[in-house]
Amino acid sequence: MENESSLKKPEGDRENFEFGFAWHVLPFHIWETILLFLPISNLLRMKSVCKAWRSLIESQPFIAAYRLVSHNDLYFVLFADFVNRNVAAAYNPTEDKWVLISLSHISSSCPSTCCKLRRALISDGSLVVAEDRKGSIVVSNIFTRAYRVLPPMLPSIWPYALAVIEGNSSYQVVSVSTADRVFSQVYDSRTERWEEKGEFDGRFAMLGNAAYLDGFLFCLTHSPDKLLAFELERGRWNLVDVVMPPLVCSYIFVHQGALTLVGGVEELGVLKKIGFWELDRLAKQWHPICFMPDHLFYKFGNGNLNHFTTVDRCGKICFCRSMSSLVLMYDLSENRWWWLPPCPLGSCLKHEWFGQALEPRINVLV
Amino acid sequence: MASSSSSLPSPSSSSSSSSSKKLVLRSSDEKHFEVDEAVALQSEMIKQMVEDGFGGDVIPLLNVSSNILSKVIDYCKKHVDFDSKKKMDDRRRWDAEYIDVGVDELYHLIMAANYRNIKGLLDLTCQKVADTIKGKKPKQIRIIFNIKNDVTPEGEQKIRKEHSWAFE
Repeated sequence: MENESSLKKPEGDRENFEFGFAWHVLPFHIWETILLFLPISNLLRMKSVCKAWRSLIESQPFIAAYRLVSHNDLYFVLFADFVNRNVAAAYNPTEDKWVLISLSHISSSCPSTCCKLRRALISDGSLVVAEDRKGSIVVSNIFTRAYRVLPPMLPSIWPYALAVIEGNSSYQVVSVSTADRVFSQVYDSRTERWEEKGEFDGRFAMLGNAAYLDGFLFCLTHSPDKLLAFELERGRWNLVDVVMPPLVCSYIFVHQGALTLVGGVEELGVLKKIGFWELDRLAKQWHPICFMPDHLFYKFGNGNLNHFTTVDRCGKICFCRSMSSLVLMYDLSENRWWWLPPCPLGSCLKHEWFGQALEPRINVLV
Repeated sequence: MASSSSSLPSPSSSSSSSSSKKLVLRSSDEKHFEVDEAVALQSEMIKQMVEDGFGGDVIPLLNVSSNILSKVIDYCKKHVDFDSKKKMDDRRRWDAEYIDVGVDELYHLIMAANYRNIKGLLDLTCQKVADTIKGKKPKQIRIIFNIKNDVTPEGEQKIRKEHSWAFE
């Protein structure tokens, strides 16, 4: 304040002085602390305020520090137009708003359309793993426009990407093949190659989605319905000793340190309700937590629900069904349900499914 | 020199602290504030002075005026209380009310927190400025904080193109 009073006020610009002048002399390291608190969309926008801010935001120390601050920033990237506009529609629950994120960086180095993405497969943290038109696996941070095409997987029968696990400075992609047994291979960004890692002597029609908790990748199986656990470090598969509730469209995720299951309950071949169960590992049981309220279930199902898809992240779960643009979101921590505003890509016939949730980061992992 | 007691914020800490050691702080406009040592030690700067064996009776704070110092002491007192009770919700509520101030006062609080090195208060004030920035356009930010625009139109266009989704 001493230095403020010693500075001359600009003539006839008193308001500007009071609001602006003092801020101008704020030490730069304080600006750094302030910018660290901004969610990513605001931060990227601030790159165009002035050159000093831009170089600060792009500097390695800032990027490293930004990763350590929790921003509760979350995007549900649900739909995409891979063919014409090459964009993905992402919903931000905090701002209750959709944004369109370009996917063109992935094919910009290649003039033909073969390198365009065909579909998104899995995601974790800020990373999405997708398949391009040539069938290559691409890992991308769509917020920083960084991407990497992974080398081909090890030869196996119809391998598919099961999960990506993002660490602080590296990531791993787990891929499985389930023809006559479960065969798994892991890509590690540190070694930049695929490695055979574990197999399980069991036959399943296919594996469902997977959720990572305490070093284990828990994975649903279909026909028969079981729960498998893959110890990532040692490459070991085990059957989890728990009876699965008879559900359709089941999906697992981690909520507040517990494995949580969401799925539909059928009666006489008709979907009657959608609920959540939590795994009690000591009792080896799934305990029901809650169900989708009836009025929301009827609106969501429109009287003839036979299939739905679930996407989760950070305790927020969204429900979608094919051939419908209606998306229902549930916040498990706050026990709050709401409908998403209309997707900017238009009706469901004009866009494809992307179905991933991302916590944006500005550091480049890929 | 104004007397200290009248400008002291009302004591909110428990009675046991009244027996603890006191320190006297002097603001830039020569007002004196007697506070518990634990409250003053929330400031890393004062902590360092005490540890280095600062012998004087009064700690002068040349860059902080009495009205801002009284507000800063408010924060430190309350947070000594919070540290012993650890009620996160209470703390969050109190912080939110505390920081509901105008841009001008916010600036002085940041400078005081920075100068006296009070990490909690610095984070709280910086978070508040970040909340002010949220949702605003770069142009508005330059006006509010009087920042000179040295980005060329081409440069701005490039950033917009790279992150078009963030500008929607």
